[in-house]
Amino acid sequence: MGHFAHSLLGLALFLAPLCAQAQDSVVLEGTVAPACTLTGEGFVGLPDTISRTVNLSNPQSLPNITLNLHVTCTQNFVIGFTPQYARLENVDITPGALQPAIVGDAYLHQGAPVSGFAGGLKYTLNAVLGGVTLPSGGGGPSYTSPSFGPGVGFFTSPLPPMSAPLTITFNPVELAPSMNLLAGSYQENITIQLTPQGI
Amino acid sequence: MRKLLALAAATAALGLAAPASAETINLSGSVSQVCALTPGTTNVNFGNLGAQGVENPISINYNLYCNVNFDSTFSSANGRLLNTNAPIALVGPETGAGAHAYDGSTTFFAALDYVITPSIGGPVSSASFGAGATTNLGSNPPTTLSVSLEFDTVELTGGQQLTAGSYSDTITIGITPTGL
Repeated sequence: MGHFAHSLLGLALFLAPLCAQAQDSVVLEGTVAPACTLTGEGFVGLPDTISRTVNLSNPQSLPNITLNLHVTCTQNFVIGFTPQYARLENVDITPGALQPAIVGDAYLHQGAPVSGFAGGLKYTLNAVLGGVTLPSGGGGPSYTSPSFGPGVGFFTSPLPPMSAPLTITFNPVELAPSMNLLAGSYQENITIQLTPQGI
Repeated sequence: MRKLLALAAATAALGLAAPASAETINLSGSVSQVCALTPGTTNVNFGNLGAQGVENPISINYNLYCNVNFDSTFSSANGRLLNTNAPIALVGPETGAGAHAYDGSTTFFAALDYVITPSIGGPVSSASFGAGATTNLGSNPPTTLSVSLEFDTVELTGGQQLTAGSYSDTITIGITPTGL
């Protein structure tokens, strides 16, 4: 018996017991890594930051800002929004000289609120995912800062896996005609968090 | 084989604990610093003062706007309405004996006090000004304010009379932004 024929015989002897169990011994496997991604408007990676500038030259007539994003999650997930200041806050003001967001936006001069001027600008955040407005923790279709901050985020209940557009609209709350914005730079940072929850 | 399948399943289960992903939206804007007192220059012309400085009060309106804290100052060039045709050396001092007198005269005068009455606060006499001195009015919070100032002369009494000539003073109000 030549070497080739001997090898065939060995292979046949090895396969023989396996063939007897062929129906449950062939296993096909694969995995899909659980992941949530947010794309659009310049988001390119995780984590990432995009910036938008609000024109504050006329605080009595402020434009809205709309972001057209896309969410893909391969598992159930929770989406949350966490603001740093819960308002557009004048970051040039000496610490302690601006009312806390939950109280108001008045500038404090020698401890007393100054009338006619504001150092913060509230806004309403409205999020629509897959054509459905995300309910806020307060029960409304949108939420107005500072009801969800600062530093305190709003998170949805678990949502099913999906790949869907996410539209976020910021509506700055316009100042009353008698009010003015204090000079300075205004900032807000909103973190959008996508947290997989399993299947 | 069953152990291998169990191990594979356990490995997949561990993969479910994926970290949350976070993206940040930064919103920003700015408001320019503005501090203005308008109008910038105003002339108050009393016209003919007559022999004793009798005239009708004149009011002017100002708008003050400053969107940061600011320091304010006040100064008067002459500390009074001064006859600019008279040599300054011949005009008596602003206050005290011989005040405003022309060349030591007890009848003729070459200067005249006036009073400013703002719509907010009480009247202020030029007798309290020091010519050329700058008075610090202190630190102020951001302000938007409309104010009127009424100017009135302090008329001479008895036989006192003004010397002929042009009388003037220049008041300067300074506003210096100091931030927030």
